[in-house]
Amino acid sequence: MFAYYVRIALLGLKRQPVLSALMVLAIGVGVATAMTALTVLQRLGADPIPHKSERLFALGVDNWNTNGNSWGEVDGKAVAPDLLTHKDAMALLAADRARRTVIAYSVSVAVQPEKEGLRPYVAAARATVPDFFPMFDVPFLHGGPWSEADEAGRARMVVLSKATNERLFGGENSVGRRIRLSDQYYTVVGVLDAWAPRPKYYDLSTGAMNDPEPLFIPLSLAIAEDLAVNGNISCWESPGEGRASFLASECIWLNGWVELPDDAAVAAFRDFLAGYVAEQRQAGRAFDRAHLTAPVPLREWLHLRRVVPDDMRLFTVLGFAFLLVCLLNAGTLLLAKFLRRSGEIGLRRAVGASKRALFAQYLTESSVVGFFGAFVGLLLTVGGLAGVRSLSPHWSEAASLDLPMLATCVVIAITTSVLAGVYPAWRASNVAPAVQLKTN
Amino acid sequence: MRKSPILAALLQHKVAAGLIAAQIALTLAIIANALYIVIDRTQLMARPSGVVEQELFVLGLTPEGSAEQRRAELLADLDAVRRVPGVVGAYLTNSMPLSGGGWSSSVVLGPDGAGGAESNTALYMVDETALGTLGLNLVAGRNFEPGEVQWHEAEKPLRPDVVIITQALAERMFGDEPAVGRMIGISGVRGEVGSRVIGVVERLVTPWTDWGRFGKSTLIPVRSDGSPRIAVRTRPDALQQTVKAVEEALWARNPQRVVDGLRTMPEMRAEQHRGDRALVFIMIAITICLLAVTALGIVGQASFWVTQRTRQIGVRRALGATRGQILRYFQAENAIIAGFGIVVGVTLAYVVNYWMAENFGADRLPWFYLPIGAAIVLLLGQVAVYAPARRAAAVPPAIATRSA
Repeated sequence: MFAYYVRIALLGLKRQPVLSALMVLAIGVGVATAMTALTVLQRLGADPIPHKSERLFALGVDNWNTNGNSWGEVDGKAVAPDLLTHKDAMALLAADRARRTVIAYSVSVAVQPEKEGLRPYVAAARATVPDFFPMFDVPFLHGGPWSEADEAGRARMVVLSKATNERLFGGENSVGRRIRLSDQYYTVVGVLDAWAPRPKYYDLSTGAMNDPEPLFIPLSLAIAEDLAVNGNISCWESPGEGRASFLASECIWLNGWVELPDDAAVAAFRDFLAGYVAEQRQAGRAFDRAHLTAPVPLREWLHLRRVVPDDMRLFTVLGFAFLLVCLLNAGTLLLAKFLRRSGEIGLRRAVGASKRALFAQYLTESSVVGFFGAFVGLLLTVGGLAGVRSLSPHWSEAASLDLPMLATCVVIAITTSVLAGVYPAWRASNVAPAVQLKTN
Repeated sequence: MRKSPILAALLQHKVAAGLIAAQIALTLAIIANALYIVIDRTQLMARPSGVVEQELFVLGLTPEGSAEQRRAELLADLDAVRRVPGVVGAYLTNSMPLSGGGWSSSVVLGPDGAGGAESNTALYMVDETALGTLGLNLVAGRNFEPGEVQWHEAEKPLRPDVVIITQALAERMFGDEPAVGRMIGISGVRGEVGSRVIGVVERLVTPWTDWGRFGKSTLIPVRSDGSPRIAVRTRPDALQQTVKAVEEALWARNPQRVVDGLRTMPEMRAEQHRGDRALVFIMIAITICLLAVTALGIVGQASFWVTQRTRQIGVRRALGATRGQILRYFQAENAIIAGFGIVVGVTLAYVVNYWMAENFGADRLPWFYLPIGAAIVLLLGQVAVYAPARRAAAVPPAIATRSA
């Protein structure tokens, strides 16, 4: 019976090819707009490390006090700064109260290749502790992180990204080889496999959609050598003169994370931080909003840092409003289309077709329109995503279609057209047979 | 033409007319907001920077060695750049307008905010040639003198004795009073108000386009050997070839050096506004598609009504109605539907905007976008209904006498 309905539906569509094509196109455009926006939004808002995000917490430490004001507000509520002072970072690292504590920041170094024909270039290096790699599940191709002893000893060691290893060593296992960074020799201890989390959740302050740093070096070394910070340094009071007073200042420039395995660990860590805040207050530091000094769950952190741009949300809202217009439009056109056939419907009713049968038939016809609309919508979504990619690099990585989104696209298109078709089909199935037979 | 028969006919088709009216309402709500975004962002992108963008580029250098070695190296590099054919001017700096990266500082008039206005400003390190190189317009006071330009000691806060500020900053700090000769405190050092304003330039924007203090910049006569940049002005229409020549000249001096972050001002402007341009493009695309879809709905519905009412039209024509009257009937019918749509749409547009303002930090929609949006959808309806209405008007009176 369904096959028969589909055949009738196709005949019906063929009877008014231009109108049918326009209806399909309208649904396709609506679906494509909504889907393009939704795909990008969904990718931007995706959990970058789903199996572990529950256990990862950003370190919020609220040392801020600009004329008594907080560092900033999100959704009308005060939030802790996005970075840490050197003294807080070092204190929390030394306290070692979590399964893993990671402190990191980005520096810029000059990479001076020994290979002929390669010009020196400036690159960002992530200065961090060895726990960085297991904490964020960073995959190694060769070797591994430097040891805790190397970290404490400020060893000149470096981990290379896959791309950097290809550029400098042609992709071979370079563990044990040396590279020159800003006039100093570093020993390669590890080479990463391809790794590019989106968003770059472990440090949003240097561009949420940027690639990870191509080099990784010990934190203790970078601080001791005073390498150039490649990121933000914000101060609410003057750091004073000299390196030592800068390191002891209220300026924030370091990134902090902890891994806490369960709720008990989270509670214990909160207590520890509360104690830390009390201590710092005793020592005469501001810490006015004690509740903001807390471990912030990764997902919440991404929300607070506005990883999904407001422009993207706006686009999504308008995209779905547009789809709603397309739904109303399809409803209008289907109603007109079905009621045009009142004579035919009356005849079918007169020769014994039930209301239910007619309703099913016309709903099938709406679904067929939706099916074609889904197909057109898919093509247009692919085009739309390519368009978004060319328009904005920040959205570009996010803009690709995967299988679940593909399925969503088809479901949205068919749901839209079935929804649009319900009322017209009901009206069509209620055509009074006698009246129609008389007038036409 | 009396309205009552039209209304009566519409009441017979409440759902169909309601569907069209709802489409018009949504269309109005969306395009009013989309148009506002387009115009707002276009204006944002068109804000002048105050510099001769088409003739400027910047590059970064990483000198090595002791402070003395680095400074000597930088001055030699600067000299080499200034000698390259096609280069009109060049100076050492820390940042450029629209570059997205730079330094900012608070500005105070007195210790702890005493003595008046506080603001924030972008800091540009310059020398005495920068005004000419950037093409800035000095509206009051004087330029820096060569003797005032000093090297910044890396470990110390910035405390320039003299500064040049933009008019926007001068107005924020001093209102209508003349700024030249006044003292300000910069670099966030409380209690220290040690910089004299010696000049005011008409316009120079900050490196950040999304910063609230976009026009508030300060020029300081300072050179730094920590991550320095060279800003270069070329002869008009010689930007691209001069970029290459400057790069070659620097490599010729030292083939092992790093020339980093070379970008022209037009590139920086495009990059800063990429998100804005993307949004404008998307909004225009949505508006066009939306108008097309809504027009399609109106044409489809009106065509059906014309077909459905062919006999009635014939009867009216036979009873003496002119073609014009039939045409106007359908036009009026559409206008009434659009009218309902507009009433709902204006409310909806306002609600949508309020909601967007609350949630996405969007600006409040200026009221005049609503009548503009209303006029657009009304016109759209009339254009869309014209063809079906013409077909209705062409129905011959004789059709009334025929039976189908």
